[in-house]
Amino acid sequence: MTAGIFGDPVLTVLEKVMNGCTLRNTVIANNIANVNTPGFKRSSVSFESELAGIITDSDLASGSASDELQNFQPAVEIDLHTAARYDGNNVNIDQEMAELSKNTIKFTLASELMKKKLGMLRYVITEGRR
Amino acid sequence: MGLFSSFDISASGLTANRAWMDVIASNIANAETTRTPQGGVYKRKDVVFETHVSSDNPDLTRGQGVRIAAIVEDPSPPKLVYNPGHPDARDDGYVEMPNVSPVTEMVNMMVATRAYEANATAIDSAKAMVGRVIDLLR
Repeated sequence: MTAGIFGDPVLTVLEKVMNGCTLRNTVIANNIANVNTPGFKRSSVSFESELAGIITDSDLASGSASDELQNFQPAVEIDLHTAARYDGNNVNIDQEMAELSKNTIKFTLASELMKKKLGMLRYVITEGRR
Repeated sequence: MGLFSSFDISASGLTANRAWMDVIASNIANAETTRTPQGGVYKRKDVVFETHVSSDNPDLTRGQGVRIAAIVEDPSPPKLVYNPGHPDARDDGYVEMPNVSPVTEMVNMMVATRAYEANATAIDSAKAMVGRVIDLLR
């Protein structure tokens, strides 16, 4: 039933969030690097709503992550809906900076939560001794 | 109101002020331009700001971003300078010069710069606030 002490759905979800945020960081860095490239279209990563759709109550109750959750991967999509400048480039540097700030906060939040979760495991393993 | 809506609002402010700077720079650069592709002398351009709710956060009833609604031309008449030798002079010897006043543009440039800095500070403050919340986990 359980897939080991690290098969916990909460740890899996946090791991997927951190993976998604890391990929988004790379994509944003690529957008910023190409802010002056003619014809370049910005890309984005959106995984939060897909991830929320995959997590079910039975996942959290069973104590082990479903296969669908374990195999989840974030996806990169090219954004063709944002208005482009005359050179065909649609990167907005201010928006990229704001996205970068938001992404960093999400990643920090996920990593802190994971630290707490693993801290609980460590507490159990060391039987309360530090 | 989500956790990150103030980031989007401030980012829209940064974008709008940067676009305003572009317009101001265009006015300053073309302060002596007598020919344009549209024909005639360069006319000073101005921006119109408008509150704008982004499609990502449509329910921002308490906070809205900004966007440039339109870039309009200043309707005031061009300055007339008597210079019959100029290739674009009219029949009466006067040349139509752009209605750009460098003093006005410099003042607008200061306003746009400070507004941009204010929006950047707003993002810094929002980041610090959320960082404080995360510190509660530590």
